[in-house]
Amino acid sequence: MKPDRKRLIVVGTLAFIGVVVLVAATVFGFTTIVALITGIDGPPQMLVVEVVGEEELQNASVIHLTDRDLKQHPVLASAIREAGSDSNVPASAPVPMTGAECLALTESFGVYTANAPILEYDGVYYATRVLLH
Amino acid sequence: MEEGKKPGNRLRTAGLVVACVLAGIAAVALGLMLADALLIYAMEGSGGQPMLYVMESADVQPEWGMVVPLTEKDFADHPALDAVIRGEERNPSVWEWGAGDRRFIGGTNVSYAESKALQDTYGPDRETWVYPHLEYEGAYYLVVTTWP
Repeated sequence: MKPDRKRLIVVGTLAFIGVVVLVAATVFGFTTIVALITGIDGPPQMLVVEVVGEEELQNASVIHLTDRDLKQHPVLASAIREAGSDSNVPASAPVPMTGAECLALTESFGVYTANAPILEYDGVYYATRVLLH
Repeated sequence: MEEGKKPGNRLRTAGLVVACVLAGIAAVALGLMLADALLIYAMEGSGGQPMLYVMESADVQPEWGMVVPLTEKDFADHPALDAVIRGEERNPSVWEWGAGDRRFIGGTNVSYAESKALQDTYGPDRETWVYPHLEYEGAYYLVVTTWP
């Protein structure tokens, strides 16, 4: 009787650990695959920032960006950093963003509106576009 | 002798089954918690920058019924929310872009664990996907988190 009970406890403990690991692995694997296929916040969009000259400002509104704006919108900050990395050549830089970030940028800086404003940071002017995938 | 043994055996079997079921439920719950922890650990190492954004909404009808007043406890539990709504991260944008009846009042970098906690507490209802409107000093806010 005694060895039987001991075996039962060992088997029970192993089964318990087995179920814990199996559930964790299944959920983790499933979530990771779904995230890889669709992106966690939906399909990714690309923010494209282009350096423009002052001649393009005639009819457009201009939003002057502050350091705090860039800190609060890391996607915009990295797009501007990449676009402005070589100021001699007009450059553009597509940067991936989530749907929530796109909404935040649209409501704050009008990036995804019909007459998107020109953004200014550190004396350089930038036009923005959104590419959908 | 046998007559006396049977009820005891049956009781033992029933006890064993109940114990197994309870252990199974506990194991599944622990497994889900482990998966959550694994996921957050993996994401924290990915180098992404999850953000908390707070959006102010001008068009809120009280009859929508999804209005939740923010209390001091909310701000104490979520310092990031406090910083954006009434602290140093408050940086309201203009109303004129986008839909016009909403604007972002600020945002801050949070950890993945905090992003998930904010999403679970103030995010949209899992079935209807309606966001609760958080009310504070007469203004209505929506919490938007990113999980890059």
